[in-house]
Amino acid sequence: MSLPSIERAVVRAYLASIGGVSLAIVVVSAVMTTWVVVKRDDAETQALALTLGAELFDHRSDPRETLDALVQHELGEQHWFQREIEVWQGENRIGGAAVTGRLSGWAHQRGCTLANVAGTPSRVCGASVDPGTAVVIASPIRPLIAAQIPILAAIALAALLATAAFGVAARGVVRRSLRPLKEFEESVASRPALAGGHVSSDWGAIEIDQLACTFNALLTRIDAAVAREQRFVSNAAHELRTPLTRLRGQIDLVRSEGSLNAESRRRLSLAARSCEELSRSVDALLALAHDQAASTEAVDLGDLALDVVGGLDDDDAGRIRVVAAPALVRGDPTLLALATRNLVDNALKYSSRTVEVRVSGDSAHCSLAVLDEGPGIPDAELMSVRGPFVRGQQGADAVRGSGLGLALVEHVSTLHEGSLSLENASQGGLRATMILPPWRPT
Amino acid sequence: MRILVLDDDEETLEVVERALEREGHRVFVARTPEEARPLLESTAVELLILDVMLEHASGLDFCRSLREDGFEAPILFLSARGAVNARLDGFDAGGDDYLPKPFALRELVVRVGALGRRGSALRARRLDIGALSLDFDARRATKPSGEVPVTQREWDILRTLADAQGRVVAFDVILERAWGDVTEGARASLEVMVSRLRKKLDEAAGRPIIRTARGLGYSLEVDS
Repeated sequence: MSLPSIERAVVRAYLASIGGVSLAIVVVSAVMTTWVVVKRDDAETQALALTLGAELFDHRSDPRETLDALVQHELGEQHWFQREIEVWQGENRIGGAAVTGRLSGWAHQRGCTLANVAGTPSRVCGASVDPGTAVVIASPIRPLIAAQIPILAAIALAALLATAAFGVAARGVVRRSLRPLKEFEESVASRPALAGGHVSSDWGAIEIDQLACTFNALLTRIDAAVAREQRFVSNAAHELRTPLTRLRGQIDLVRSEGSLNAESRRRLSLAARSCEELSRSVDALLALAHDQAASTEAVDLGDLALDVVGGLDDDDAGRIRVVAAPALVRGDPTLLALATRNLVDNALKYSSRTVEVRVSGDSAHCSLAVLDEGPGIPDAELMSVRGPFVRGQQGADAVRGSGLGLALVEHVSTLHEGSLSLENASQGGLRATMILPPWRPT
Repeated sequence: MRILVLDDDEETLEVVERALEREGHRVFVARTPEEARPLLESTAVELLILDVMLEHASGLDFCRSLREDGFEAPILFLSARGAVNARLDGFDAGGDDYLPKPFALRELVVRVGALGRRGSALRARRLDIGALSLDFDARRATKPSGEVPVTQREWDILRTLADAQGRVVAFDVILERAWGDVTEGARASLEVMVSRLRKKLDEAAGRPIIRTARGLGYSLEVDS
């Protein structure tokens, strides 16, 4: 079912009004025409009755046969036109077999009335010139009305055509009136997300101008909210990273002292590692707060994978095999590296054996898959583990982590118009794949 | 090398100062731009390390004003913001390199060493070679038929070569600038990336743009 449309509603209302008016015109025309025709026929019938009455009056002393012949002759004349006529002299009917005697009930009728004559609706008119002689004429109504049908049909057709023509014109007018609304919608649709700037507030229609002003007020509020959020993220980044910088610096300074024994050196290495983990968690949290990639550069996923592996400890890097084909995407290299690092870290945590990073690309999509030989994720949890601070149950007790990893990877993939696919490999282990659209010129 | 560190965090200043002094540098510290100005004038500083977000001032604005006043020594930004924003804003303000916080002191020492050897970059903003146009600020390479994809590290290589204005740049200098470290893996990657750049850019430029100085390094064939 299609949604209500202003254009359709206005055109429908317009058609209903014009159609109603047209119908009223047709009905009034029909009634008026019938009334005029009946009245004209009444006058004609009356005139005929009086003429016949006068003629009979002239022949009032003629024998009965002559009067019968006279009436019969009159009935043979064309101008009677389907009318039925009876002449009464007292209780006697004149005209012999030519008259039916069906009008005896109206022998005393003077003037015209509507009556049912043996089942036929008729106008019955009576006249009397000589008080002893009455002329009664019945004129069926149907032939009268039937004679008007072509005229009424012409009026109805004209009304129909006028309604259709007004409908088409109304549609054009409505469309033209609604054009600013359509242009407003296009202007809003072509506005890049969170790009700042407002839509024009001059559309040549007061309603749309008001809508544009309201929309701009909303944009101002959204822009202010986004600016507040960005300031918050920026301040949060500063507040979190500054103490981490101190901590990392102090650890590095102490580690570089020559006087440390092996145990102290080991403990400091662990502290440095915790500091790095914390730093990555901060990066992940801040990345999750982003709702758009900060840059859209060309990024080769193969180079990215090699860089990420190059940044790992030698022990971890030694467990990773990178198989890379050219796969160029457009995106934010820092966020993509963060996502890749999270996938690799996850694989290293949950599997003690080799981890493979496989990069491939074609004209439809590019992918970076990380395959481990760990326990995988139960099928029931494949969706839920993507949420922030959610960790898989399998082996979760044995490994450390914030639970932000997969949520971050999915968020980064979505920011790049891609997706994260998680599946358990048939031979065991998890295959986590970032699928991204390939680089295209802008 | 005489180095001025401008950061509003006392402990970070102390850590950076000690780490650099250990490497034999002479380090001056300042907490505000007002404190830094007289030091810059009196001590002939050879490198400025500058925090992007100072408590009551913007490191980026300070950098801009220094460049406008003719300060030519290299500037290394320290940034607690996102790495990409820091890079874009930092280069735009006239910086030569950036290091996101938190950083390993070893990384800071390597960057400082590299900047010291290289001196202030000429900061080529835009370079046209034949029909090829390289916009280093926007990191956008274009040819008449459209955009050419160039990755972050490929830009770092191109920028290093462009700053040398046609002179040969040693392999290690490129590796230090683009990878931050000289390793065998990085050396192999450099070769791969240079060959990739040639494939992408030579056709648009209408001639080979990267020349190999055998055993020494690479140079960019800029228009004379």
